[in-house]
Amino acid sequence: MKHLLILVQFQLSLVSYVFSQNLLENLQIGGNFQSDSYYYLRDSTIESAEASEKLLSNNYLFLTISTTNLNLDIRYESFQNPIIGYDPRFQGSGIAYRSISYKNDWFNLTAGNFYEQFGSGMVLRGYEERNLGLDNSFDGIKVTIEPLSGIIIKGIIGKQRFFWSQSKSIVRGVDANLELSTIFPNFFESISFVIGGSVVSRYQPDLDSKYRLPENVLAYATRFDITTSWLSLSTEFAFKYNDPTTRNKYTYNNGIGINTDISLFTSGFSVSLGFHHYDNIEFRTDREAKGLELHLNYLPSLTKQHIYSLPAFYAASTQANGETGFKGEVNYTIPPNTILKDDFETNIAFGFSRINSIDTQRIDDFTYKSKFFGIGPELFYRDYYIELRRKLSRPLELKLAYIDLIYNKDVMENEGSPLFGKVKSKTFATEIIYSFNKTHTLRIEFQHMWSKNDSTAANDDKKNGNWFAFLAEHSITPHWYFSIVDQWNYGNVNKNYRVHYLKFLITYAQKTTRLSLGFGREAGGVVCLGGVCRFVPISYGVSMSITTSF
Amino acid sequence: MKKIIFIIFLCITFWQCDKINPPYLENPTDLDTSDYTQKILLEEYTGFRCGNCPEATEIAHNLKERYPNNLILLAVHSGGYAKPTTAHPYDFRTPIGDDLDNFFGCSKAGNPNGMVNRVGFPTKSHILREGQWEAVIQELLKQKPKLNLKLSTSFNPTNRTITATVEINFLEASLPNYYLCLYLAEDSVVQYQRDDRKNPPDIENYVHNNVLRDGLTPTWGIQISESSLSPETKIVKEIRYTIPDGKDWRIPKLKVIAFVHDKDNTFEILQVDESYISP
Repeated sequence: MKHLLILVQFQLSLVSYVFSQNLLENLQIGGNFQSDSYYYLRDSTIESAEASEKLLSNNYLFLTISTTNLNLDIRYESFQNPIIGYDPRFQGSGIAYRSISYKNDWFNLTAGNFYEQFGSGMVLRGYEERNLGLDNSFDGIKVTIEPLSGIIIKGIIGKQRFFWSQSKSIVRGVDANLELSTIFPNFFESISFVIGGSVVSRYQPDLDSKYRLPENVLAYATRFDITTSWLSLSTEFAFKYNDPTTRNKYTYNNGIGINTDISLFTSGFSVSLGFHHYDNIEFRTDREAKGLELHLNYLPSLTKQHIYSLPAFYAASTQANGETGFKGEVNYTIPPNTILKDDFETNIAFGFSRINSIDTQRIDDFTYKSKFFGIGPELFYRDYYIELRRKLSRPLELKLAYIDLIYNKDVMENEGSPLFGKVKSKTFATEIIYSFNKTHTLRIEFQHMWSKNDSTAANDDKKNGNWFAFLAEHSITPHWYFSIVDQWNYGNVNKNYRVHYLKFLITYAQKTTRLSLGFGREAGGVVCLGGVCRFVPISYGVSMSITTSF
Repeated sequence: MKKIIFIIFLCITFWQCDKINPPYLENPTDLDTSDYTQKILLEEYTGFRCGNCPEATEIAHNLKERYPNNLILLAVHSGGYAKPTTAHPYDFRTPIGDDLDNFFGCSKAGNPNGMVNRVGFPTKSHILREGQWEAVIQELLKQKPKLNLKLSTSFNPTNRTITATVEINFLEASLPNYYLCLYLAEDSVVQYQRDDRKNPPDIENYVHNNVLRDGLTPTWGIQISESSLSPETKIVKEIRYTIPDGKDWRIPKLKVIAFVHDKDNTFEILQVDESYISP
C-alpha cells in the first residue's frame, strides 16, 4: 500500500511538472536510413552461399523528433529476407524500436525502447551493432537523475529484444556514477576521479524439470577511473551469483570478471597496459540463449583489432566462460628533424597480447574450483606487432606493419572441439598513400600472410595456408571512391581452394548520402567487433548499400 | 522533496538474489536412475589391417570402464584397412558400416578414429581421434537428455528371431526428423589383427569386441513419428529380426544397440541403449 501511495504521488508530481513546460519548444526532426542488399550469384569454385530469393536486403529507418524536453524515437526495420550471415529470425518488417522520453536539467525518463550501459558494460549493456546483426535494446522504463552535479543515478526495468519478440526474463538494474573530482573540486586539482557501481538482477522462472535453477540472478560491479595529464587508469570488477545456463554447461559457480587498463603518456610517447580475467561471467537474458542472442553484459576485448584484412581473419573473440590475458602497447613519435633529418615525423607502435584459458579443477558435475587470476595451460590467442608510419614527402605517406599471431581456431570458431587446431600466422603489410592534389588520392596496400594450421583431424577448411592481398583505392573527394581488392589464398592445402577473392567497389557520396555498389567474391570468415563475432559466409555477387541522414 | 521520492522509487524496485545450494537437481534420486541418464555411443572406425587401431580400441575400453553406465561402444570395420587379404580372408565389413563410413567420411580421414554421438557433423569435427573422445563424452554427460530410451530384447531359438522392444520417453518436444536405429553387434570374435606396438605386429588370436554385424533397421533407421511430439510423450516400438542363415555369429555374444538420431539435420545421436539378445 505504501509503495502504491509513493508511486501515485510520483506520477502526479510528474504530470504537473511536465505540463508546466512548453512541450513544442525547439521542435527538431532528424533521422537516418540504411539499406544493405546483396544479389547472390553462383560460384561453384568457392562454393559460395546461395539464396533462393537471389536478392536479400536489410533496411533500417530511424526517426527522432525532439523538443527541449521531449524526445520521440522510432526505428522501422525491414529484412526481406535477412542477408546470409545475419540471423534468419530477423525476417520480417516492423517497428523494432520506439520510445518517448522526457528530460529536464536533473531528471530523464524514458518509456519504451532504450539502450543503456553501466560502466564498461560488464554487468549490463544493451546496444545495437548492425555489422554484427546484434540488437539488445530493452523495452521498459529508464530513469536517470542527476541530483547534484557529478552524481548520476540510473534505474532501469525491462525486457530485452529477441528478434521480433522479447526475452522471457525481466531485467532490473541500478547504476550510480560519482565524479568525485566534480563533487569535491578542492581535493582533486587537475585530476579526474570517478567511481561507480551497478547492481543488476534478472528474473526468469524456473520451468526446468531437471535442475534447481535460481530465478533471480544478481550481478554487481564496481569501478573507478583516474585521469591526469600523464596517466589514465580504469578498472572494473564484476561479480555474478550462480547462473547455470546451456552456455556454461549448467555450472553453479559464481562468475567473476575484472578488466583493467592503464596508460601513461607524455608528448610523443605513450605506454598502455591491459589485463583481464573472465570466469563464468557471461550474462544473458535467457539461460538457453546462444550465438548473438540476448547478451545482457558486454565483456571488453583485450586484443588489438588489426586493421589489415588478412590478420583480421584471426580476430580473438572473448571467451566468457573463462579466459585470462594481458596486453601492452608502446607508441613513440620521432619528431621531425631529429634522427631523420627532414620535416616529417615518424610514428612507431609496438604491441603484444596473450590470452589463455583459466586454471580450473572440476569438483563435481556442477561446480569447479578456480584459482583467482590462475592462468590455464591452453593458449587461446597471442600476437605481437610492430607498425611504422611516416611521410616520405608532402604528398607521399608510407605505412609498414608486421603482425605475428597464434589463433586457437578450435576455441574461437568450434566451441573448443578439436578440428582446425591453432593457426600460426605472420603478416607483412605495406600501405602507400599518395595525394596527387586536394581532390585525388590513391591508396595502395599489399599484404602477405604466411599461415599454418596444426590441425589434428583431416579437414577441408576453406581458408588456410598462405595469402596475398592487394588493395587499390582512388578517391576523388568529396564524391567518388573506387576500389579494387584481391585476396588470394594461394597456399591453401586444398588446391581447389587456391582462389582469388576479387572485388570491385564504387561509392558515390553527396553531402550526407552515400551510395555503394560492389561486385565480386567475399572471402567471408568471422567478423569481430570488440570481441563479439559473427560468422560471414563466402559469397559471390553484387552488393548495394545506401546510407543517408537528415 | 522530488529527489527523495525518486530515490525511494528506485529503492522499491530492489530485488533479491537466489543462491542455490546443493543438491542442484530437482529430484536428486533421479540422478542414478535410467530416467535421466544420458547414454553415449562411441562408434570406433577400425580395421584388422590397421596397426594403430588396437591402441585406440584399448582407449575405448578404458573409457567404457570409466563410464560403465553411460558409454556404449560399437566397432565399425570399414574402409581400406578392413578389406580382406589372401592371408586373412575374414570379412568384418557390413553394408551398414560401409553406408556410415561413406557418409561420415571416417576411414578417409585415416583410421583409427571415432564419433561420439556423431557430435560435430557436418563441420568435420565429428571425426575424433582417440585422444579427443573423453573430452566430448564429458561435455555430453553434462547436457540434459532430450529423451529417454529403454531397450529390451528376447530371442526365439526356434526361428532364430530377435524381438527388440524400445520404449521412448520424450523429455523435450520431438522432431519428425527423429529416427530410431537398431544395430546388431557381436563380442569376442577371435580373428587376426595387426598391432604395430607388437613385434612382430601380427596377432592371429585377437579378440574383437562390439563388432557391427547388421541392422535390425535400415542404416538410417525408421521414423519415430511423422509429426512433432510434445514432452512426456511415450512411444513403444517393437522390431523383429531373423538372423540370416549361414552366419557364424554366436547367440550369447550378440547384442542390440538402439539409438535415436536427428536424421538429415545434425545426425546427432540423442539417446542410446544396448541389450544382449539372450539373458
